[in-house]
Parts: sequence; C-alpha cells; structure tokens
Amino acid sequence: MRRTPPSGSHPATRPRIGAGTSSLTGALVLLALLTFYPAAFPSFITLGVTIVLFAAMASAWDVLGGWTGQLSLGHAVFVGIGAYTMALLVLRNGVAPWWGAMVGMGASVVVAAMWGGVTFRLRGPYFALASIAVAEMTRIVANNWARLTGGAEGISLPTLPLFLGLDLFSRRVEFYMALILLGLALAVAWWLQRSRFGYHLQAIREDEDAAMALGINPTREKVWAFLASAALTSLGGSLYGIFLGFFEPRGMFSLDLSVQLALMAYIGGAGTLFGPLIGAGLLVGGSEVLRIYFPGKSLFVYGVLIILVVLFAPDGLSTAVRRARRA
Amino acid sequence: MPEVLRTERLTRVFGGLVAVNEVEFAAEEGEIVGLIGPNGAGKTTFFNLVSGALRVSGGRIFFQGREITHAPAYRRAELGIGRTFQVMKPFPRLTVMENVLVGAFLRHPSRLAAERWAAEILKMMGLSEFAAASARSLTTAGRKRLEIARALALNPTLLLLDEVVAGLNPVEAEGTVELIRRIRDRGTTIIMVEHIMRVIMGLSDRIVVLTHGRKIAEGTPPQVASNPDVINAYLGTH
Amino acid sequence: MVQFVQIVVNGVFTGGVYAIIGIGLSLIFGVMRIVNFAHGVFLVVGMFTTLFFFERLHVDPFLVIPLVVLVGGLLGIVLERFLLEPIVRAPEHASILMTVGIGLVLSNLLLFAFGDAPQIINTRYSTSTWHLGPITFSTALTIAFVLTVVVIGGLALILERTDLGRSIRAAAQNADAAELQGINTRRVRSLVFGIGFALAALAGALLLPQLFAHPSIGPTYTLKAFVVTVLGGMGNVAGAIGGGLLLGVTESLGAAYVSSSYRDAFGLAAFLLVLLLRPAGLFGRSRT
Ligand SMILES: Nc1ncnc2c1ncn2[C@@H]1O[C@H](COP(=O)(O)OP(=O)(O)OP(=O)(O)O)[C@@H](O)[C@H]1O
Ligand SMILES: [Mg+2]
Repeated sequence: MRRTPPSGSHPATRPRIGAGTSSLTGALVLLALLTFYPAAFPSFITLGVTIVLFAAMASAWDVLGGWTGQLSLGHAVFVGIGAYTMALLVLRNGVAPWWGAMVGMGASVVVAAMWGGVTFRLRGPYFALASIAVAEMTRIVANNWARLTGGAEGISLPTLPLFLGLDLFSRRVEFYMALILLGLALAVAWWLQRSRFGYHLQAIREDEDAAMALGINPTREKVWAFLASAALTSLGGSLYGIFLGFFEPRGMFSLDLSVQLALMAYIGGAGTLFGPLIGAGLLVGGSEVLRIYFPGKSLFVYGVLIILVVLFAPDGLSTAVRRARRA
Repeated sequence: MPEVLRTERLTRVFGGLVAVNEVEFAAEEGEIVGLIGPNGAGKTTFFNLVSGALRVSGGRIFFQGREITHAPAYRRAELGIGRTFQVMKPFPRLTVMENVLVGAFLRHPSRLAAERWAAEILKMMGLSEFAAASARSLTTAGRKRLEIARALALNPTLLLLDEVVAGLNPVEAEGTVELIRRIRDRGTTIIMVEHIMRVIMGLSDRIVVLTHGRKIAEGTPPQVASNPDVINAYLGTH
Repeated sequence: MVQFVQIVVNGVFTGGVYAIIGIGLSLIFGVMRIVNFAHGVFLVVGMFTTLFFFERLHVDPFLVIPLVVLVGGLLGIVLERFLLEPIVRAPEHASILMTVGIGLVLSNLLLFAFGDAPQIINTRYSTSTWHLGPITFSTALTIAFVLTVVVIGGLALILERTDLGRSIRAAAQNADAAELQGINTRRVRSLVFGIGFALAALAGALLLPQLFAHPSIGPTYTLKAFVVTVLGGMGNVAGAIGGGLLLGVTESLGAAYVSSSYRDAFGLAAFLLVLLLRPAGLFGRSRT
C-alpha cells in the first residue's frame, strides 16, 4: 500500500505521552522544596499560606474549568460552603473543624451535583453566566439568612481544639495543611493528565460533539469533574475560613473570589499540572507588592496580567514557557 | 448477509425545510454503500441522524436489529457506530496519538492496552510519525486521516465516512481509497458520502441517491450511473 | 392603587435606563459574539466622566451627556481595536477573560483616580419633582426617561435606515457572508463596541443624579445587563427594551411588596430560569 503521509506537518520534539513521570518528579521536588518555606521565610509566612492555599483552590477549579473546559465563575460558593459549614458546626455544635470540613465537602458535592445536573446542558458563555447567577443568589441568601449564617456582620471563630496536638491558628500549621491540600490537588491533576477519565474530560473540552461520537457521555463526565472540583475547593474553603478567623458572606461568596480562582488558573495555564500554582504565585505575590504601594484591596494586577496573557500567551504562561524552551 | 443498519421512513425537518424525507435505507454486513446526491441533498443530515448527533423528526432507526432511534450519540458509539465529520472536528490541543487514544479507551479501559491499540491504528493510517504532533498542526489530508483513525479506534461494526476523499490530491486520494478497502476487508460495514464519482463508483457495492432529502434511486454503480432520474437530479434542478 | 401606579411608574423609568444598558450588551453579543463582562464598568466610567466634567468645568450633568457619549464611544473603539480585534478568531473563553480583565483594569484605574469614597452629584433637580394627579415624578428620572426614548428611537432609525445599520445587521446575521458582500466587518465591530460603550456610559450619566458612584459597583450593573439581555434574548436588541422594562418594574414591585433584601435574587432567579427554559429569551425566537 502506498503511504502518503500528510505533508507540511511538524512533529513536536517531545511526545506528551510518557511525559507523566518527569512531571511527577517535578511536582514531588516542588512540594519537597516548599516544605522548607516556613523555615526559610518566617516573616513572609502569611504570604506563603495565601499562595499555597490559593494554588490549591485554583487547581481544584481547574479540574472543571481547565481540564473540562467548563468556565465556572461561581466557585466561591464552595469556598463559602466549606468555610461556613466548618465554622458553624464549631460554633453551634462544638464539632471539631476537621469533621466540619468533611461535612462541608459533602454539602459542596451535593450542591455541585444539583447545580451541574441542571446547568450542564448550557454550553459556552451560557454556562458561565448561569454560574454567576447561582453564586450571586447563594451570596444574597447567605447574607440575609442571618439565623443560619450570622448574616452580613459575619462570624468569627472561637478557640479551636488542637489537631493532633497542633494549633490550627498557627501560620506554620496552616501552611503545611495548605501544602497537603495542594499535594492532593496536584495528584488529581497529574492523574487527569494521563488517565482515561482525564482524556474524556479533555475531549469534551476540545469538542463535545466529537467526544460523544467516541462513546463519551459528556454530562456524566462533567458532573463527576464538577464533584471532584467542588470537593477540593470546599476543603480549601474550610482552611481559608480558619486562616481568616473572621469572615462574612460578602467576601466568602464574592464574585471577585470566583474570578480570582479562574484567572489564576488561566494566567498560569488552564488544564496544565503547574499552571494554577504559577498563576497563584504571580497574582497573590503581585497584588501583595502592589498593596504595599497602593493600600486598599486591588485586583489591578489580575486585570493587567489576564489581558497580556490572552493577547500573547493564550494557553497560559506555563505552556508559553514550555514552547519557548522547545523552540 | 445479516443486516447492520436499517432506517424506516427516516425524516428530519429544520424549520420549514425537510432535509431528510422518509428515507428507507439498509446496509448489510461487509458492504460498502455509497451515498450520493447534490449539495444540500441531506447526506450529512442522514449521517447525523444515524449517529445520534441530531434527533429524528420521524421514522425509526435499527442497528443490528435493535432499535436505536432515540439512543444518545455516545450509546450508539458504544454499540459500534463510528463516524467522521465532514467539517472536521479534531481535538486540536491534543496530540495525534491522544486523539486516537480517546477513542481507543472505549474498548480498552487500561491505558497500556489502549495505547497499543491506538499505535496500531496510527500505523495502519500512516500517521505514526505524527503521533506526537498536535492535531492542529496537521494538514487537511492529515486531519481527514485522523478523523478515520479516531473512528476506527472504536473498532466499529458500522463506519460512516463523510467526504474523506474530497480535497485530497490524487496520490493522497488513492491512499485513502486503498485504506477504505482494507477496513472493509476486516469486516467493517461502510457507508460513505463522496462527490468524486470515480471514487464512489469504484469502491461501492451499492449506491443510494438522495436529492432534496428523498431517496430517488438505489442499485449497483452501473445501474445508478445510467438511471435517468439520477442524471436529471445532478444536471437538471441544480 | 395610587401607590401601585406610582411604583410601576418608578419601575418603568428605571427600566428605560436598564434597557439602554441591555441594548448595548445585546448589540455587542449579536455582532461580535462576545459576552461583555466589562459592561457595568463602562457604566461606571460614564458616571465618573460626568462627575469629572461637572466638578471641573461646572457643566450641568445633563448638558455633559454628549461629551460623555463621545468619550465612551472613543474608548470603546480604542479598546476594541487594540484588545478585542486581535482575538476575534480565538475560542470564546478568550473574550470572556479579556473583558473581565478590561473591567478590572478600568475599575481599579478609577479607584486610583477618584478614591474609595462614594460620590454623588447634587443638582437642583436631583431631589425636585413634578406631579400628575396623585402620581409624583422625579425630575431627574423624567429627563433621563425622555432621553432614553430619544436614544432608543435614534438607534432604531440608524439600524433600520442607514447603511451603517444595514452593515451592522448583516454582520450580526452572518459575519462571513457580510464580509463577502464587501462589508468591512472589522470597522463594524469597532463601531458596535463603541456604541455599546457609549450607551453604557450614557446610562451611567443618566443614573448619576440618582445613585452613588463608586468604582466597584460595575459588576452589579454587569449582572443587571446580563439579566436584561437574557430576558430579552441574547443578541435581540428589541427584546432588550422589554427585558429592561421588565427588570425595572419587577425590582420596583419586589422592593415594595416583597423583601427588599432579596430583590436582586429574584432578578437572578428569573435570569436563570429563562436561561434554562427559554434560551432565546422571552420575546421572539433565536436566530440560530
Ligand atoms: N443544523 C441545521 N439547521 C438548519 N438547516 C440545516 C442544518 N443542517 C443542515 N441543514 C440544511 O439541510 C439541508 C441538507 O444539508 P446536508 O448538510 O445534510 O446536505 P449534504 O447532502 O451533506 O450536502 P453537501 O454535499 O454540501 O455536504 C441543507 O439545505 C442544509 O442547509
Ligand atoms: Mg454533507
């Protein structure tokens, strides 16, 4: 038979299949290095917790937003559920925060199942719009249902029990908890990069009709991705609640928070192993520097960076760097 | 020969336009059936109905004797219907290998087995050397092959090919024709839509002609080629 | 009864301004297939432009309006030209992220420039009223409403009667076919984005005598604009008028007869239901 290879195509120098082991090594080395952060930069420990925690939550967002391509601008709902469930169970029922976090995770999964079941029939920008509506409604309810949530004045955490002998309000402890969560999120991303389920999600992201023609049930796979994403984000939310100590619906359920998670993942590289981590580092770090010069909370850096990324590195910085290295 | 596909009065309406109109169609195991007709005759719509990408407006579809009229597209793929898209739909940011792998997972849940099967398909399609290239870097000819490769990864009983030869240069076209024969020789039933008469006449065991959504003729290539209705359909109204 | 009529009248007047916001968003979506997440921020830019002219040049806010429209239009054209045109062929999430970014940059620039304190314009007519029988009309809202009607009418004339309007409608129907007919779709996109920005800025100027201006209120109005356009049907310009009036009246009635703290939630719930059940909007059919 005559072979007529399609001409004019240029094979990439490095196959993506089999790249798994090297990226796994990279992730492990990175996590190992990060364990030294509290000792190396004790005066920047709060910044460290913020970066690692947001990296974990952005990675969690990325399971749905990046790997599956369903742009959610409502993930703050799960941050809020995680934080509030944990805090309210501590305050009202004296339940230990780690059990509260588990309950919150369960609640988030239930919410995600209903939310996804109803809105995953929407495609493209309509799903994003619906996610904003769901999140804003949740915020309004949380704000007004004062008997449940404490309302707009917010709630503050009391003294927490020791966790395995550790003080949860210590920044060092919080750092390592966040690091464990980040490890978990990276493990999920690494698995998505190479598993059948991960390929199903990527196929749905790239072309839903073609994915269906290959035997993939998009709604079912999207719902699973949403559940995983919600569960991880919710854990991050519980930890974020402890980290803050005091919070209110306006911040926990805010559109800004949802947008931040999405932008971190996109700027670093959505649907990549390290993208969300890189994005979180840049954005949290960048905002921190700006805050020193311009007091007051500012998302200016987020705006500038996302514009530059969309224009010049549409697949995110980590992908752009990888390409530049290859060229 | 057992029947693989049968449609009864299959119909699809878009607004006021009847794109597929009460079409009775059947394909037997191991056949290559050519589906031809002028532009807008309803060929792609017919494929979309059979593969489940579109809902039917009326009529029924049977696959291996089982009714699939209302089964979702992914279920039909599981049952053994593979298809290509006329407007090609590669997964652009995945590599060529990964594109095929996605389909291979259907029959081979383990990663290793799926990769081995995908590699075999790539080799058969002459795409091995592009395995690691991203799908969007392929030329048109390459993408058309990728469409076939991905559908083949399902190990389909029935393969629907929508204009996979059109737009190729003569050498490439001949390669693809040869491939289609080999696929059929492995026992896969094929329905193919193609405008290039030389190709369709040479490959098909049987040809079905659609115009304005209606089946107007059916028969062996010589029968169809000499049918006055068919000649009219191509020359007259269009 | 009088109270009810009063509430409906207030709702209709506010709804007119919502319609202006929604029309711009719908026009942009119809022609460019972009969901503009910065739309509410454009409105805030209009508010602060008005404030700037009012406080620096002591011009009456309603006389400032042509200037505000001009500034908005120019900004829109420039933004489109340099930030949106380069990503015309990119996947749709690119334009969502881009407009989110534009919104963040603009609102933070306003924050740097005008500070964090809410501001309002105090004029004679901010608080003055006139009466028709037992019904009271706010003078500011009345002027705003008259202008709204004029602008909507003018826009309809442009769309229906002029070459530009025909180009816009052709591009909205099928950009590639319009291009083939010799329509410069690039120019149409720039103009449409300019018009959208100008309309949002105008709405800001019209609302300013009534509402506080603060750099961070943009997203609230972006959401309102989404609600208006989804109610009316994305890309359906005439539907946006109905959507605007509907939202205005619903909010007004909801705030009066139901709890006012849940007011926004009702609009969002309606938005979600329409999105799920009638994706083409309440009025008319989808073009696709
Ligand atoms: N999704 C759709 N919505 C509305 N009309 C459609 C749709 N898909 C196809 N049509 C119309 O149905 C008719 C049949 O189209 P179809 O694509 O099936 O033709 P075809 O035989 O494949 O033509 P070609 O040889 O050009 O590929 C055409 O008039 C087409 O415009
Ligand atoms: Mg066709």
